[in-house]
Amino acid sequence: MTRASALVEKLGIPTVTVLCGGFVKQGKFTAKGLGLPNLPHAIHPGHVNLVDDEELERNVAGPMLQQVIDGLTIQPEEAGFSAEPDKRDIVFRGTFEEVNEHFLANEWSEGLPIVPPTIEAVERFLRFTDRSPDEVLGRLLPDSREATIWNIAVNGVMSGCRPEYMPVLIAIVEAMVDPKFGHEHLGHTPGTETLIIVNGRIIKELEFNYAQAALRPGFQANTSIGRFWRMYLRNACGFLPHKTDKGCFGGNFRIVLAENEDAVTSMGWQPHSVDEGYEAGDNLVTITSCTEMTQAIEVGDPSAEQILRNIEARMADNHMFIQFFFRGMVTRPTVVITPAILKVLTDQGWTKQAVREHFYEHAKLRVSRLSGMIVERFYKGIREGNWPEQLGTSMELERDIQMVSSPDDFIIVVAGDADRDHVEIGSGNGYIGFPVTKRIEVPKDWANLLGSLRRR
Amino acid sequence: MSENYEVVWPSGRRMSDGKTLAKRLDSLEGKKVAELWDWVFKGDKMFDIWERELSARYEGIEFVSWREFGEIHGANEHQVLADLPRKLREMEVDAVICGVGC
Repeated sequence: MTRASALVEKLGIPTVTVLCGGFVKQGKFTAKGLGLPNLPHAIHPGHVNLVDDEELERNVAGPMLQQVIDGLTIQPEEAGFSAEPDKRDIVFRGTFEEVNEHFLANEWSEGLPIVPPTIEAVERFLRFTDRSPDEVLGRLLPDSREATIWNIAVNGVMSGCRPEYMPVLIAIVEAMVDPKFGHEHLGHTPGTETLIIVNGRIIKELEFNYAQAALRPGFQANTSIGRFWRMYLRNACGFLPHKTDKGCFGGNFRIVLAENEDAVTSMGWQPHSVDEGYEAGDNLVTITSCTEMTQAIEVGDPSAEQILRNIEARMADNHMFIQFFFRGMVTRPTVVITPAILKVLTDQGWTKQAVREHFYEHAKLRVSRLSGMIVERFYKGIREGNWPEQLGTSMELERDIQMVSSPDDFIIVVAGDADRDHVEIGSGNGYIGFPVTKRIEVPKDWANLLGSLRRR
Repeated sequence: MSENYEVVWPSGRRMSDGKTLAKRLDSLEGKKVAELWDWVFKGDKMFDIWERELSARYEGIEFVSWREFGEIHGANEHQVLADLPRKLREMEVDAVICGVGC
């Protein structure tokens, strides 16, 4: 809403932006980020889903009506921005503890201790890229700030990354600012979290864990780069809880997922990088929304097809697919299978594409399992004619619907305990953009730089 | 004695282009008001009420329904917003009510 209003104001047309009461602070901070701190609002007391039509009428025809009139006819006072530091300015001097207290007080850290971002520490990161620290990669919302090589390095230092992770961090931010991903939506109420998937030779070079406990803290590359994602959203984009980040519950940042490419290729499949149009072994990051994650425990079976049916049954256990029927969006679930599962599939001749097609045909949601407002969302989608081939056109609830638009919507990655038969399934549940893959560009003297670290 | 650190700021320069709010209208009489909606959270009901109430107060006020613009928050958001300046100019819109953020 606020982005649309800002666009209209820029055209010279006055606006009033309508919000529920719990969203006033987010609306004001988002408007500030867009350069319009005094954007007028009409505010519904509390959430509209919680009032009946009579109360809605009283609110909308009462105080909100006057706010609409005032917002369009009374000129608010303009407000300016205060001066901010330049990138090399020293903003604080102190001990480790004092630096951490200062960063907490300014909302520059999420509560865990940060590594103090000294100029020397930042410059150690900059040695692992050939790009200028002043290069602007894109515009970060909601605060409308520059994404630069410099502020990537600063937040990498703070998050506990190693300097050699810098090429991965840059690729992640390049993916973040790609309009296809839609990072501006990350402050919405479903609290969308992001899964970062790494492919290529760099997995071993940087010692990512891709085996047992692939999504558990305990491995520096997987953990600190996952932390970096949310640190950057906080400090560079400006997503702050109680302000611009309105995640109802939110969730922790996700540990970075690295693919077990040895297992994939030894069993005759291609890694995820090939699905994205690159070569096997290419160094890549993929970012995809992954708010919901569910583990399908013990899907193992001597029959590969029964394994697929066990996975599909668990996909329908949650409501990861609301935006598919509601807004007609393409939903891209990620399915992480273990080498043990992959072996049964490949021993029985299943290609990755055949697995995707099986998921597409057989993973179904019983509509009657939806309830409340979500049923209304379903009816709306049917009225709009969304995906008739997959959803049908009937309002009947006692039937099964498909959950994605095409077999290719499934992202399949191999990782986790090589000997176990569990499967992890993740997806977004709110409106967000789509997965983005970017190449990780290492500096020209990458081998020497890595070698020098190991000789120390 | 603990080591001291001199630290830098973790954010980046604002890219705000110094926009200011549009000039407000003297009155809503005879003005054309467009409705932008994300198609959730009862905006359709709200716009019906405002059309009724504002029409009763301001002679000649007109409305351009949210149906004319499409959903402003969804898979087509970028396209809907890209089309918006042309549509608003062609429709000679004087003001916009935009919602619903929930």
